[in-house]
Amino acid sequence: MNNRLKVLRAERNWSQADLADALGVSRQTVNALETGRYDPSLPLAFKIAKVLEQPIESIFSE
Amino acid sequence: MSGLSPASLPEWARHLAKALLSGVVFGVLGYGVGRLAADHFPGLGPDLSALRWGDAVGGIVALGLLVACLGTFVTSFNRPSLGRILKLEGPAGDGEVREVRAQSAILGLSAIIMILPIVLSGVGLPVTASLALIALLLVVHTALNLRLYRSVDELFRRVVIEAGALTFWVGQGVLFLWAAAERLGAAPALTAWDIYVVLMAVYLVVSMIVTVRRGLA
Repeated sequence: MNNRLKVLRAERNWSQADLADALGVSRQTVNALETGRYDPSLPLAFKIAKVLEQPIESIFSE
Repeated sequence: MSGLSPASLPEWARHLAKALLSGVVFGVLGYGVGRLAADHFPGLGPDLSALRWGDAVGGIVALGLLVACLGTFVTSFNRPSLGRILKLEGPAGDGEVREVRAQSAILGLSAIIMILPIVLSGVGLPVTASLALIALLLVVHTALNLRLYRSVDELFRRVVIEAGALTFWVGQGVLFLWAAAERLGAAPALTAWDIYVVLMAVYLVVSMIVTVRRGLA
């Protein structure tokens, strides 16, 4: 699964730590998500969409 | 000519190459020192003739755990270096340092628990006392593991679950092949200790692979 997490974070000038804090996960998890090494659980994907104020399908794609 | 320089290798392959190279170099060095010591000071060390192959594997696994424990503990004092290892933007923070030290403590305790049955079997301590000590350390180890598991996020939990599942899959395959050979009379019978040390060796390798694959190291 691909995602636009890194782009969306950069658009907001957020650091990995900012996003990690907002999501309640570690910086390593944010890094693993951005590099495509880890696909989030459904609850975390919804939380990402809420924090970034974007629909899930605009963040994640097959 | 397409050269295969270290930089052209994927990251996991470079880690593996470094680990293998270190293993060979330090293995040869350790063997040389041990050989010299055995030749020049016979009878100085413990009598190892009673050790079985399972003890040797257990010793190697314990040594691997101890090296990992010391490595992570020492690295935790260098925040920029720890940040690079954990693939963070910038140096590691207080939370990451705390987590790595907790992992280091668990690794160290794992090494002690792994080597303790071998050591205690040779020191003449009553079996009940030996078992009580091992059981006590196992309880502490389990409590620390549970505490760490509850404090981490879903990625770390996923790594633990994947490593456990993969270890079971590989372990049951190896055990089945051995059991089949044993049933057919083609292999000697295994003890619970033999099976346990092989399982732990498999878990150690598998957990390292899963950790690197998920980008945690």
